[in-house]
Amino acid sequence: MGFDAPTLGFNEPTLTVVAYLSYLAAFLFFCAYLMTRSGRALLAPRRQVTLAGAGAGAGGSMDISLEDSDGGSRPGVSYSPALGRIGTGLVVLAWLSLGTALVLRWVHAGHPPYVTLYEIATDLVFGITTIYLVLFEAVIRTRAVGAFVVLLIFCLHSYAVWFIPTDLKRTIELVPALRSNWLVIHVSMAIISYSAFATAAGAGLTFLAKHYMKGRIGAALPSGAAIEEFMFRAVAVGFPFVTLVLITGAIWAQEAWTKAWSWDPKEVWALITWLTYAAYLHVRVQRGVRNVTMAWLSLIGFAVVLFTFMGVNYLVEWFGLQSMHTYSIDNGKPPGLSVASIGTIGIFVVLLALAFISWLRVKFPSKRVRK
Amino acid sequence: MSNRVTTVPNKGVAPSKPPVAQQSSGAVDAPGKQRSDFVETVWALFCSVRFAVVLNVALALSAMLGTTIPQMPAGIQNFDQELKQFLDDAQSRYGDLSGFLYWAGFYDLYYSLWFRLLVVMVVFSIIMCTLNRWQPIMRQIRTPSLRFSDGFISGLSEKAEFRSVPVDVSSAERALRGALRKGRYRTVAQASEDGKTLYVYADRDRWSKLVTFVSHAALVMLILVWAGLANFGWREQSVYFYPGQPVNVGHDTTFSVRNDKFWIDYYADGKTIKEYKHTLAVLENGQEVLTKTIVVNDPLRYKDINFFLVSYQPVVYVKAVDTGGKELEARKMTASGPITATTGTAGALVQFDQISGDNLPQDYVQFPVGKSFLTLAMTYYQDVSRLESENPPVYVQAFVDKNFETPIYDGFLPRTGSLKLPGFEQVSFSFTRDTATILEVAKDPGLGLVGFFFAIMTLGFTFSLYTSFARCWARIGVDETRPGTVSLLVGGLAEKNKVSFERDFERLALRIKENLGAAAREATRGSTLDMPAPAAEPLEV
Ligand code: HEM
Repeated sequence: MGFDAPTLGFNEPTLTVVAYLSYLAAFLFFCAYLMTRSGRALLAPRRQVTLAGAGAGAGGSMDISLEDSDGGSRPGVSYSPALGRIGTGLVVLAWLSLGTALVLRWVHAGHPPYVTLYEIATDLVFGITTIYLVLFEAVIRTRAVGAFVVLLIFCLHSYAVWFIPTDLKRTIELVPALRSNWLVIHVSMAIISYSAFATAAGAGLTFLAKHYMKGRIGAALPSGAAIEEFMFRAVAVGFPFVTLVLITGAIWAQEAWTKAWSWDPKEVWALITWLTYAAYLHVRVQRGVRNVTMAWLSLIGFAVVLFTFMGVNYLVEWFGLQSMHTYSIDNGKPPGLSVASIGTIGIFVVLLALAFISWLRVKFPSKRVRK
Repeated sequence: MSNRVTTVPNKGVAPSKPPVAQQSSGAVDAPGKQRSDFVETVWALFCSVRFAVVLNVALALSAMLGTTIPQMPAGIQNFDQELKQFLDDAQSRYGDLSGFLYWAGFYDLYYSLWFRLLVVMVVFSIIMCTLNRWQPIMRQIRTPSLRFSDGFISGLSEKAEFRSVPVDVSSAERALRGALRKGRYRTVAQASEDGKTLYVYADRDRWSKLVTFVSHAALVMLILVWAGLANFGWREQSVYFYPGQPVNVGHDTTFSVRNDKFWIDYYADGKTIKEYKHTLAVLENGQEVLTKTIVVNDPLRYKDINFFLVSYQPVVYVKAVDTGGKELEARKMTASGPITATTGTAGALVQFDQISGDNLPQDYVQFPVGKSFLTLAMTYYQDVSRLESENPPVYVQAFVDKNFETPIYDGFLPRTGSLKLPGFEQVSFSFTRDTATILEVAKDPGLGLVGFFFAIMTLGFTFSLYTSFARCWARIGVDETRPGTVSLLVGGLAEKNKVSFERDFERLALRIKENLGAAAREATRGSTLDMPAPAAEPLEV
């Protein structure tokens, strides 16, 4: 088993590839879903409470009932919900196989896969998927943001799969300073919060799509206020956890590094992340802040998150800093091209999406469903 | 739970605009006061959430800046040599700007005056904001406005109206209150003077307004306590512990700590270090009271003082014995020449703390032999493996008197046995190795308190993110168009999570409708209930 000589079978490389391809397919299905769907029926089927007689004028009737909303009765292409369900199914498949891959890696390494850059990037992919499935698909019950969240996941997973060299994907033994239960606690908190912020950024992208693309996609998405609230819900998951990242990190540092807080660059960036999302929340509390500002803020926040988790090693290199958070420097420093490579992947994905969308445009000529 | 209020302060009439909490400027205008005053302006500034955001961002940007400029290691100011070295490096990096950067505190950014000032401003801002918002929020919670104009309800995001319901006012009130109670609201009602109209106010999660105060207060306490604690602890960054020698770290401590053993555990490959292990003994009045094997993640804690393992160093004991079995006295030598320092009975200690050209640790010892003296220059080769029972991996150069050009011995120690030097065969040098450890010793009082406030803050933020102060206003009146029936108007407002509240309000309206229906069936038969749609857009998710 291992990435240097991958074989087909029930092993980490195979499961990772399955997950990777499932994300790609899920993205395409979610795009198709949006292109064929009208805005009203974006919720996964649920028992919707509506007021009987709503909008029906003064009927004088008194039927008090709970209706099952029937998404199919709304305008839209009839097989659209199926496309959405397939998308979700593929995300669940990716989640399962990536989760299994991580478990296999854990068993193989004898410690949680929380150490190398490849491991953290993969954890983040898994975490974003989990938060997306739980928060959006299960709790809020919407597939509206699926395409955008999965796009983010796919980019990140591409980075992990393609741009981290094979020899850096090997498991390594824990150095003495990492041999602590706090590793599991602290890094888990970080994965949860950063994943939630990534999910919020996915919702932010959805909002921007709604805001700037007036065509089919705009019409297919729920109202801006609703998307904005989805975004807030994700930030509300992330914020308490990023607070916990700081506190568990401080407790651990007090034990292992003799000092709870020593202004190490990584610590400082975790603090910056915290402050950024505190600013986000405070801006939201204010009246008169337009929703699109919140969407951009969620993307800025996510950029800060990405820097916190990947960029600090570069700071150490660029500015000649000292950092204690570079245990895995040999295993954590990606080749110098990585910014370019993320860009390449990004462009690749966007082109793919554009090609797909224009194909859909041709295939399903616009029959506008809502003003 | 529901209590009737007979007297209502204020005018008893809510403003015609929805009472969105005043936050954009935060400050509440006291009537008749002018804002021209400078103090007032500053006050208003510090009371505004917008300024809090600005401070917040400023703090984040400053912190970012600090991660692009190498910072001075803690405590470097006490070491002139190191400080000079650091500043020279900075000079070569930033050129003439360096002097300014040093002066402005950019090399010690997180402890600089202006960074601290920023933190003080945040604290100040939180306190002012709290003081300023306390009264309006308490008033909002304690004495809600019950009555309202028609325009007020139409300005609310959620509303529903029930007309010509064939029940009397009090059973409509029961129906309404029942539905509200089911939705976890507490209700207050007041009748108009003529008794024809009943106003009902309901709210939910009032306390969530107060939680914000608690969490921000915890944040303030956290910062203050942390800043204050810096004055109460102490820290010794590198204390040497030589094998078997108890060390008292001072600071009025009454106990000593002894280095009993140091070793390294390896993973199965035999090369990768798994754990540094260090056995320490605590001695009170020479009596051993505690022994503990510490590792990096598990320091020794005794009487609130922490001993952290930070480094280790090989040490070698050299013993020179002449034929008569007499031990020779040794002197240590430093880079600047020999000094007289007689070592103890355990032989001369070689410390390997000077670094030679090959980056290998080095040390020197001198022994007077007869009329001349011998100098041993020793270099420790960490990568050369030697068994426990063999001599340590030390490369020796031996010199006589000041002939430092021509060593009389130049090579590794023999693997076993003692070292004899040509011309000085009457002296035999024996070597034993051990490890000195370097510990950081610190007393950090009150961290528990910091943790406590941190926990309160986290809980508080979580609560305020997941709860939302929600309010409903309702009016039940006799329906003039159809005698014997009432009409009921109800509107709601939540400060957060408006989309969720929309669904929530729909559920509430449905429940009111059910209750009214039941009441109507009980009162009369055959009458109809007219139920127009809530005016808000249907849920669009
Ligand atoms: C920089 C540290 C700060 C952090 C981490 C922080 C955090 C938070 C959080 C998490 C919330 C809840 C957001 C929500 O309810 O949606 C909040 C609300 C709030 N904060 Fe802060 N805060 C900070 C500083 C301040 C300062 C300096 C002020 C005062 C000017 C302030 C005033 C407020 C206000 C007025 C609210 C709204 C409470 C409400 O919804 O009723 N905060 N803060």
